[in-house]
Amino acid sequence: MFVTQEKELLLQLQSNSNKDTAFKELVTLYKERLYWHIRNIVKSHDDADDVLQNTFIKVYKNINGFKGDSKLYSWLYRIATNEAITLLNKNAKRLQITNEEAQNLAINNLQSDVYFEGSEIQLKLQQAIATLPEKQQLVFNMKYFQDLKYKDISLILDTSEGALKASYHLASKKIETYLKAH
Amino acid sequence: MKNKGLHTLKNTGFKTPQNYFETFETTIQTTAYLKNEVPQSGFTTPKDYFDTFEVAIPAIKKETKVISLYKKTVLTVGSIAAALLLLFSLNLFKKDLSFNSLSTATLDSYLINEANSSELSLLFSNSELTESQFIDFQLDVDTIDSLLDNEDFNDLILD
Repeated sequence: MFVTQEKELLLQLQSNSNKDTAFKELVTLYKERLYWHIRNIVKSHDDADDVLQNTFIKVYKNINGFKGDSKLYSWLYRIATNEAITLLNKNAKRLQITNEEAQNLAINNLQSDVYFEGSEIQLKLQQAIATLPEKQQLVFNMKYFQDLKYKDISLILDTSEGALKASYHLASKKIETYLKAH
Repeated sequence: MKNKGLHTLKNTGFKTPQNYFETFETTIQTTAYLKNEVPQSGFTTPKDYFDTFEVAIPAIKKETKVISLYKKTVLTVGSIAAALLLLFSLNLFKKDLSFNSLSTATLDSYLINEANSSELSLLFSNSELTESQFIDFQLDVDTIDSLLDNEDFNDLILD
């Protein structure tokens, strides 16, 4: 989306007259991208659906407070990321287990998930991703599955491009090693 | 104008991060390997999920004006409490204001500091006073004996 289009959409979102129409346009534009970003973090479709809903509701409620210091799309991704991580933490707390244990449980559940048509190697890839630290997981998912630019990931995660490149390099090497070993 | 030093410049001055080319190569190779092995995540969605996706915005309640607790409640209650305290401390509702309710100290103070002889004379209706009016005839013998025992007669003689 071009910067001018984004600014125009933002103005409409912050106006009282066109807010709902502009919001529908925003949802149409970003629902798929944000869904896959969230899905890669939370793994299950139902959780991804909940987080996507919460993300857009948060955007709707807080759009007037968005000052435009960052790009609208990076703001959306940031909210989606935070909401997804919050859900993971809540799930772990509810089950009284650690975040790592909750993530392993989510991956084990993929085998019986009707919305996961993955092969054995795809399941192994998810298991390999789960072994990474949280930040490396985010970077790997955003780069590998969504092919986002380092510049954009940098704005979303508020991390330097150099650090992101190093993270992705380390993450992909670890995953390669894991897949070859299993 | 001659660029005297130009021929001495052997490189552009551009630099790369440490191990850039090694890292670049291995990252490309690793990604190529992974993309070949696992090109997709395997995640799917329900049929027509994105076509039917709608955001259910919860009804936002009309915002009510926030009234400062300090300004309204605390000040009002405080003012009422202060007014009541002042009201009771002033004894405005004390009904017993008869002569008998006055303390001896109050009367003493009045007689010494405030009253003059003309005001005192008004207290007595009889213009002619006799000595007998100041004598208490109700004294019993024991009381008289006690008074006499305690009296120093030498003082009386001197008086």
